[in-house]
Amino acid sequence: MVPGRRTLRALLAVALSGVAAGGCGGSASGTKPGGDGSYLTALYPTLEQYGMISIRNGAVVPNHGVVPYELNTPLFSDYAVKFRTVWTPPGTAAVYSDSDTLDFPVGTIITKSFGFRDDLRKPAPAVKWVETRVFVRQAAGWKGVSYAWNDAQTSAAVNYGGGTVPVSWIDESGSTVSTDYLVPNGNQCTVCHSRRDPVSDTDVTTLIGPKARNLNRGHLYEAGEENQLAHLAAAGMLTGAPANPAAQAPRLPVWDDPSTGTTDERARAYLEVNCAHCHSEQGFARTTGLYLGVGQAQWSHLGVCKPPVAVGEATGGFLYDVVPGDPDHSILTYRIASTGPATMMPQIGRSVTDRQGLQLVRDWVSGLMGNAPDCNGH
Amino acid sequence: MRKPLSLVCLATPFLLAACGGGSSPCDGVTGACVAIAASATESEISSAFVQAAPNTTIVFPAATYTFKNSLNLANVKGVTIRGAGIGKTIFDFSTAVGSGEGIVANGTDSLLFVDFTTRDTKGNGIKVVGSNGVSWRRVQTIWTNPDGHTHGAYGLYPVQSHNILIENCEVAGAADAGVYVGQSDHIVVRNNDVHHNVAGIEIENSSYANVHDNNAHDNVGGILVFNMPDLQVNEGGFHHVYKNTVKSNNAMNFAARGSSVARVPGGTGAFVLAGHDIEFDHNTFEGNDGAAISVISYPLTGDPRVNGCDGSALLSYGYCAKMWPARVFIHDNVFSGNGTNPVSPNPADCPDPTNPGSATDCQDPVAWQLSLMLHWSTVFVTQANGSAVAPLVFDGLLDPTATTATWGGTASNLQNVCYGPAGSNGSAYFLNLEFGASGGSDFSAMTTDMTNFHCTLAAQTLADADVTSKAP
Repeated sequence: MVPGRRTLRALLAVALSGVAAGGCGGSASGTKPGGDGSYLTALYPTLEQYGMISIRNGAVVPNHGVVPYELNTPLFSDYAVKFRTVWTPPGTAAVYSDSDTLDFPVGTIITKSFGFRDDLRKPAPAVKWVETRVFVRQAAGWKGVSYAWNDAQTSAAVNYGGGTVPVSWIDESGSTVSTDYLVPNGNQCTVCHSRRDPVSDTDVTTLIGPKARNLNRGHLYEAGEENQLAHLAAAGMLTGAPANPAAQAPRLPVWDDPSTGTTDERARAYLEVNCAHCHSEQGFARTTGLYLGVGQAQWSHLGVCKPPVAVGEATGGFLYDVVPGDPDHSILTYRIASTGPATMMPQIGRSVTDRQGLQLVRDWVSGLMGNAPDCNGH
Repeated sequence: MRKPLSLVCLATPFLLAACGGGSSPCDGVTGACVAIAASATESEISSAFVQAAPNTTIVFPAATYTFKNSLNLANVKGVTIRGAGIGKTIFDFSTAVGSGEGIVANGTDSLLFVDFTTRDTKGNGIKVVGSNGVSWRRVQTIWTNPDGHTHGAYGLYPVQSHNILIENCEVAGAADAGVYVGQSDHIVVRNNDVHHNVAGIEIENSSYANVHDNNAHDNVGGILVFNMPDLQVNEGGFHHVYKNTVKSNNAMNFAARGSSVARVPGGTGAFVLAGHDIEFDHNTFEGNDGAAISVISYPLTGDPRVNGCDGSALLSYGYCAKMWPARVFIHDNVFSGNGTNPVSPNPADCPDPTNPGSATDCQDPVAWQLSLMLHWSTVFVTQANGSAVAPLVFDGLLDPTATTATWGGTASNLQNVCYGPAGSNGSAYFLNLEFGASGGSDFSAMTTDMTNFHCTLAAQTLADADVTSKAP
C-alpha cells in the first residue's frame, strides 16, 4: 500500500461527504457553471464567478456537472494535495487523442486547487487550500491564472502577480517542514503551459495533464468507481475514445505504485510529468537538448553522457546530466535534489525536494549501468 | 471594476496616478504606457508584466526594487521595459527564492529593454526565448558578491530568437557568459562593456552575428564563438567579429566544473570552437596572458559522445560533421603583450601535476589538458622564437571526412582556416598543435609553420542595419 494514495482516497471521501452534506447536486457557490459567460473573453476577478468549485468543511466540492479527475502520475508541488476538475459547456465535448492532450472545446474550464495538509501521518488531515489555478479555453486559445484563497476559505481572488505563501506541515517522520510555497505569476504559467509551433514559429498555450495515458485510471465518483475516460465519454464530454478505455487506451504508470510498472517505466513516467512539459522538442527548455518525454529513445537527449548546456553554477561540479550507474555524479539527480533557486529542477512549482521522486530517478540512473552508453568509454 | 492596464492613465494604488497634472514618467511615450510607482510592490510589478497588452511601455522611475521571484513576459508583442537609467532603476534579485532568473520573456516579438540595472540574480539575468526583434540598450546586468560561485550563468541571454540588438550595455560577473546569444540569427552586439565574467561575449549555434566595437576585458575569455552538439539549432556561422578591444582577460576561471566554459583557460582572448564562415579582423588583443585567438574543434573538449562518431551515433542532427572549425578568416588584428603569462595548470586541480598522463585523476581532466596545452605550447613558441608571443593557435585536428571540395581549402588546409597574407596579423606567431598528425595524444608534431594558412577568404557582409531595422 502506498501512503500517498491512501491519503488521496481519504481526501476524496471527505470531498464526497461534503457533497452529501450539501444534500443536493446544485451549485455549491450559487453560480451556475460558466457564470455569465464573459470568461470567454476575459478571466473573472474571482473564482466563484466560474461556478466550478467551492470549499466546504475543508474539502473542495465541485458543482453539479463539474467533473473531478486525477492523474496516474501527477506533478510534484511541495507535497501539496491537488483537486482537479473539468467542465465543458453543455452540448460540447473534447476529442480523444491517443498521444496528445485531449482536445477540449471552446468554453472548457479546468481547475486545479492546491492545498497543504497539516500532518501527513493522519489518515484525514486538515487541508488549507492556498490557490486554485483556472485554465479556460477561449476562441483564441487557452488562458490561465491563479486565484488565491482567503484565510476563511470562503473566496478566492485573481492573482496575476503570484507570490510566496509560507506553509508548513508535519511529514511522515513527524518532523515539521516549513517553506515558502511559490504561487507562479501569470506568465510563469505559460513557461510550462506552452508549446512552440514549429510551423508558425510562435508559442501556443497548452494543457499538460489531461492526456489519455495519464487519465486512464479509475476514479471514485459519487456513484462509485469508474474509469475516468469512460466516465467523461458517458457524460457526453468526450468523443472518439475507445469503447473500453481501461483496456484499449494507453496508460501511464503510477509513479509510486510498483504494481503499475517497472522502475524504468515509473521513473520515465515521473520524468515525463515533472520535466517534459519544458524538456521536450517544443517546450520552454527545447533549447537545452535534454528531452524527457516517455517516447524519447535517444540516449543523448535523455542526458546520458551529455555535458550540460547553459547551466552555470548548477552543475554541482558534475560533468554529465546522467552517468549510468552513478546517481551521485549525475546533474539530473543533483538538480532534482536541490532547493537552490538557480539549481533546482523543476525550476518553477516547488521549493522542497520530492524525496520519493528523487529516489525513483536515482534508482533509474543506477539501473542504466550496462544498459546505456558508458561515459568513460573513450 | 478593474481597469485594463493597457490604458494610458491608471488609478490603481500602486501606479503613479499622474494623469491630468504634473509630469509623468509616461510623458513622451508613444502608445500605451504603464507608470510604476517607486513604492510599487513585487506583486504589483509582476501583475503589470503579466497584464501588459501589446505595444505597452512599462516605465520605472529611479528606484531600487527587490524581488523574490522572476518577472515574466509571455506571448505579447511590442512591449518596452524602460527605466530611468543604469544605476538609477535597479532590479535587485539578491533575495530571490523563486525560479532564480531575473526577467524571463518567451514569445515576445519586438521587445525592448532600456535604461535599467539588474543586480544579483541567482540564475540568468535577462532571458528571452523564441522572439523576433529583441533589443537591449543601456542595460546593466551585474553581480556584486565577491564569490563568483554565487553568480548567475548568463547576463543578457537571447536564445532561439531572431533580429537581436545588444548595444551600450554593461555585464559584469556572469558565471558563464556576460552576453550570450544562443541558437539565434541576425544579431548585432556592439559598443558593450563586458568584464569580470567567465566569458565576456559568447555566440553559440547562431548565424549572422556582427560583434564589433565591444570592450571585453578582465574576463577568463573575451569573445567565444561556439558550435555545440545536440541543440535544435545545430549549425553556426557567418559571423563578423571586428574592431573589438580584447584586453587583459586573465581572470581566474570561476565557472562550475562541468559547464563548457569551465574549460576555457584564463588568459584567453578569443576562441573559435567549431562553426564556419567566421571572420575576426581589426580587433585589438592586448595583455591577454594566454593565447589571443584559438581555433579549435569540438573533440578537444573531451565529450565522450564524440567517440560515437565512428558509427554508434550518440550525437544528433549530424553533429559529427559540424564539430570542426572551417572557413575561419583571421586578419588585420593588432596584438600587444599577449601570451606572456599563460595560465599554468593549477596543481590544486590535479593531484599529480608532474604526470599529465594521469590526468584522469584531475578534477576536470579536460580543463587540465587544455590549460596544459596552452601552457606548453606557449613555452614551445617562446623557446622557438626567443620571446613571449601571442600565439594564434590552431589545434590541427581535422575532419576525417573533409576533402578539398568540402570547404574549398587546399589539401594541406582542408578546413580553409586562413590568417591572411604574411604580416596580416603583425608579427604575432602562429602555432599549429597538429593534433591530427599526433592523433591528439601529444604535442610532438606541433609547429609554427604558417605557410599553409596564409590565405584569404570572402569577407562577411551582413550590415548592422539589416538587423537593427527589425529590432525595436
